[in-house]
Amino acid sequence: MNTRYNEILSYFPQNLRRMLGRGMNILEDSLQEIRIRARLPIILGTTNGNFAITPDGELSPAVGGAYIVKESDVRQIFTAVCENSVYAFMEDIKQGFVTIKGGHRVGIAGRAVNGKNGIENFREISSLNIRVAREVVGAANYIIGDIQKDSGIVNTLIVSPPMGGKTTVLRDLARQISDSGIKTALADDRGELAAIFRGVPQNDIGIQTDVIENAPKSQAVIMMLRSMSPELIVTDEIATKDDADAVLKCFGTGVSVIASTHGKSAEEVLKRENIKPLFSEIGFKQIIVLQKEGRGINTKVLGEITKIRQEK
Amino acid sequence: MIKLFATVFILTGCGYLGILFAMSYKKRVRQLIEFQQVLNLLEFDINFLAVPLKESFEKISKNSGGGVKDVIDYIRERIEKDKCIDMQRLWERGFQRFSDEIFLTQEDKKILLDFSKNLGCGDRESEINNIKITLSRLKIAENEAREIAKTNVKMYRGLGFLTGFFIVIILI
Repeated sequence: MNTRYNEILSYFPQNLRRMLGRGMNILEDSLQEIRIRARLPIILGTTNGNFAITPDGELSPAVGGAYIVKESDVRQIFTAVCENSVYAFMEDIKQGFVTIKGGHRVGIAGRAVNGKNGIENFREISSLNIRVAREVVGAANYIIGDIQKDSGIVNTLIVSPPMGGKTTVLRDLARQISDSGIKTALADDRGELAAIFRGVPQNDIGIQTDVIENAPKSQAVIMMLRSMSPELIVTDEIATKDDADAVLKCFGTGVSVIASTHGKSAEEVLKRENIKPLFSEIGFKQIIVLQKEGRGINTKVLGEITKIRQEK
Repeated sequence: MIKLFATVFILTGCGYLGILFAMSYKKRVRQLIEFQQVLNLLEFDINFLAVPLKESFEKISKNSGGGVKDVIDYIRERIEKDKCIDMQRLWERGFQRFSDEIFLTQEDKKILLDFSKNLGCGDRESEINNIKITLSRLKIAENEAREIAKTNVKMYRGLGFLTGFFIVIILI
């Protein structure tokens, strides 16, 4: 079985461990997420569709005869994910997810406790979603040549629809560029790029990379600029005006920027109100729209480049 | 000569048994205090450092000794090996495993087992409340254990030697 799955299985109670182990073994590399909902079947989300799992560990596209999750299962898995120390993970829980060893992310849903500063805790947890981290070393191989040139790093905006591989490509870009000796700073506000677990990035993000995780981009980027003297800043998903402002502050400081955003095509992205200002003279020079080819382990991420401005 | 030897042997044997009994009362008090220290250290770690139990137990183990250390070490090792565990059952097993070195009564153990049931399941506030309630229950148990020890330690020590004398007199 994929060794990454053993890590995930260790958070499950014994009976579920055996059952899921069998099912995951069949799935090999195609597993994307495990959805656990109280009094409902466990659903394994894969690149080939969703499957329920029977008490014997058989995968079935229909939910009849599937194992039904008990409330106590959800509780136990949640406590295990928090290393039997829920109090130590409160900051993560408030954000709605906990990162576990291996960089996998466990999303939490249920009855929230609201306090002065928004959500403070979850009283009853009804669902968990374990998103299997997919670190694909070499994911950026097809586009790195367009970004890292002899003249330096070209300011680039990476675009794709959700699940299009943006984060995976961005992570691999950071790794490859950083390993080539360029000081890289990751402003990883959702902890998806580095997946830090107890101070150690679980993903390979390169030898010259520093990360600020779980901090708003606007603050993290400025902190990095001042304190870590980066040559390249990499950040994921520019969505709000604050995010765009943070990136805008980097342009013209002598630091290159690679960022990503949701979108289908370059034309569409160029029309977005928040993104527009980022294409000024000192801003992004190109947009790369990712296109996936093939399925599962054979997926190739190719990029269609739209040059905003030709390099001199 | 043989009689003298036998007398000394019986006297020391019975005296030793008496002292052993007496010591178990003292050790109960000591272990109740040690568990209170464990909880105090845990409270600090949860309240100010928010480190996971595993790390906290590692630190606590260095500050403890005897049976208490053994139980804490056992729990820590198990948590490290298997993430998905029943905390209360784990403490129960710890007490069973080191029953020779744990001098607590069933009631004392129940206080700690009640504590372990909720340990690690809640936010900071509920963990601290759990610790505070347990600490006050342990304090009451400690005071009671001291009272019992005060009377019983002397009694068992004396009783040991007296029984020895009695046996010697009957035999001789």
